[in-house]
Amino acid sequence: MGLTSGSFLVTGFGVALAGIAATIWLWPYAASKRIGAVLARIGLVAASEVLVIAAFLVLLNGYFSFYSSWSQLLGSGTVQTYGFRTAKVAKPASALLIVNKAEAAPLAGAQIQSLPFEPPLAVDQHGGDLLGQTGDEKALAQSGELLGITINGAYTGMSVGGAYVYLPPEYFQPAYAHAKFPVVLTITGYPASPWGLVDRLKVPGTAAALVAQEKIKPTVYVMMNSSVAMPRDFECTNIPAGLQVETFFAQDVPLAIEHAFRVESGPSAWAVMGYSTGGYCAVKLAMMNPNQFSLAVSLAGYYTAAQDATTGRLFGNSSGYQNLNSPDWRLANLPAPPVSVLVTSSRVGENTYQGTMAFLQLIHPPMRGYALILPQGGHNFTSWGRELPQSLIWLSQRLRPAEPELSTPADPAQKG
Amino acid sequence: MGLTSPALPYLFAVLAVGMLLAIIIDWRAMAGRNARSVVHRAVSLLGLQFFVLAFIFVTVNRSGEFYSSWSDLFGLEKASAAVVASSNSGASRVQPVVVTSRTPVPLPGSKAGGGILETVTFNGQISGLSVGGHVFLPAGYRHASPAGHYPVIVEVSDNLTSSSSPYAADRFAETAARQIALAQLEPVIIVMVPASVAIGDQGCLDVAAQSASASAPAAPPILAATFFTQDLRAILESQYGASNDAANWGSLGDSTGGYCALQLAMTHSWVLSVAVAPDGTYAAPPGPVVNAGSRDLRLAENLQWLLRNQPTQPVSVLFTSPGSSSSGAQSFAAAATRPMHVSALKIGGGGWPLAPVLNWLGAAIVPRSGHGSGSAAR
Repeated sequence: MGLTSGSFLVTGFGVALAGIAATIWLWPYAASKRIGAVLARIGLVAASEVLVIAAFLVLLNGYFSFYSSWSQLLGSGTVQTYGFRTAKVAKPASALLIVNKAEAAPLAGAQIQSLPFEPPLAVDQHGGDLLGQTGDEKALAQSGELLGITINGAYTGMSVGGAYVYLPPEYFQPAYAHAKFPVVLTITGYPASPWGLVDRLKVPGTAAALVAQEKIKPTVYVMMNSSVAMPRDFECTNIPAGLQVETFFAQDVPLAIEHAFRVESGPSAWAVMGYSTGGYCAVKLAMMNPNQFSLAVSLAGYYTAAQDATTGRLFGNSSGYQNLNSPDWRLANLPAPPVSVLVTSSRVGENTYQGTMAFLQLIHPPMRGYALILPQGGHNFTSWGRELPQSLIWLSQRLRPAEPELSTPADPAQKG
Repeated sequence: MGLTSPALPYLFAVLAVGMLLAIIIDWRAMAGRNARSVVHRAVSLLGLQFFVLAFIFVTVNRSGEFYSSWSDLFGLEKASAAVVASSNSGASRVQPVVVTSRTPVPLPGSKAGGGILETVTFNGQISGLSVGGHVFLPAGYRHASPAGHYPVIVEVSDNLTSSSSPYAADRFAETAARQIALAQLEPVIIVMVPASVAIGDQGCLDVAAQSASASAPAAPPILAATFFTQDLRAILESQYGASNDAANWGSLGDSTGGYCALQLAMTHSWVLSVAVAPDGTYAAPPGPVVNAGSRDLRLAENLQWLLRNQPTQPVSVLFTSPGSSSSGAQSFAAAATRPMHVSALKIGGGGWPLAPVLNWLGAAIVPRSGHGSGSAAR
């Protein structure tokens, strides 16, 4: 049973309730004065407590969108700690991008159903047509489409599934039939599942609403886990003699997306955005790859490379290499790259506030810094959701937009 | 009491422990089989559960800083803010390339000449490195060529100014001009850069800052790989109208530069898809050890290890040697799998020892006609 499935949660709470009922039922049997009875009381209460706590943790995990499956939580057999071959390895000559699932995108405000992953529906073969569209083009021209995808890294060899692509309604409209769209690569925190970007942060829903209000231009959103092989935390780092995760996000993902979809290439049409660890990733990826990304949004990110128990050794025991992965150190010691970044935090309730303000102080031309500081808000989806509309507007004001064809269709009267 | 108050977890812990003790001690009083006792038990147990869960939640919330206040928790925090631009000023952009001289490249039997050899300084915007070098522009070069973007050869050598070497800038440019005139080589831009772009690096690597030690003073970071793979590409594309496609970029080097060419292609195959190097094993970068403290960084600098351990890169490699035996080529060829290609070429003396190398390199990076354009789908 899936870790985040509704039936598992219902079962968990059912078992917890049954535990409480059993305790109440068995209560009189532990009512004697013997020491055994006292131990039985403690055992009964402890057992029901464990069941309730387990159900509560399952609920919190789903709500905060931390671990999307048992293998994400416990690690699957393919993940070890070191070496190039620690993630799932793409088969040689495998397609750059596989569509596992396609659905009409959830409209703004609508209830969002989860999008279970299924065997491949379609495979990108050298830019050929992708199958797996849901419904007809007319329906998709209203709703847009949400695709569950797997990306096979051409350069890193990593195969990373569980990602999503949101194609806006305009993608399917005749006026945009030949238009190339800008892309925002959106990266989660850690631990997280990319579905949280759809379900909790509501990136597609917010974007659709803002496009409808003509506050932003239609954009393709690629939504990915910052961890390419859960449960390890990679911090989007090229690990010396190990997984090249920065290269995966900066080279493999754009290559696969540009290959499979009608999107613009080059930094003027590519941005990277993320929350928490994803915010660190976004700023780092743009600063280290300004030829790929010209814009970054960091929702409550941090700007100093971190290494802890969940990351393992990321920097090959080299403090110098760790520095090269720190946006703040780079700004203080290297020329500033030609990128613009929007950083967000909260004056009250965020431990990222001090680091964010210090990072802003370091930014100098040609790099440009922008800040969105809430008066109050914690490190959670509610705060980031409040920052998201302005972030998407900020991005849209700077990304090269898709240009619709303005020519009117051929006059039917001429057909005689 | 605030949600993140340090006292709150203690409060819930005390309440939970108190509730637990009360339940254990009062157990017998609640043990009746009547409805009142059952309700009493249920309320006591649920109360205990609530305090325990509340304790867990506020503790986790404090450590993870998820919710900052009760209003934050219940979604009542609505106040927004405006996006503010930071107003830090600083140095303006440097000129990406400064041309100090232009000389025509002689071509025997031709008055028009074989192109132009520029002496330049590249100012890398991302690496911050300023590197002196040369740019060869073929005869008939125009910035906005109607035929499309020029392919690029990056020559990395410490012999650019040594008159006896075929890798010297002027001799290399003459070789290229001759091969282009003979139609053995398509028009191509050649960038010539020394293998040591900064003191302290001889392998074209990104070398992190070295902290001071007993034997050496602190050294600044040298982002040589960043210079080659990001700055040069941006400069050639914007200032010279060159292609930015890795398929049109090849690199070539002599002894020290050979490691550079091979290393850059194997670690940045999205920038450079072809490398030519003298026969060798390339198990360590030339020059002094730069990452002495990191076994992992040094492993990644061992091209033999890289070849056998990282996913195979889409690159073509040519090993050159004066004789017919080329052991390095054999060991690379034995380990290389598709899509990597390894070849070897015997280069002789004569007036133009590098002519066959240029012919091979040009054929590897010049777009073939009829090459399908990877148009986007859907």
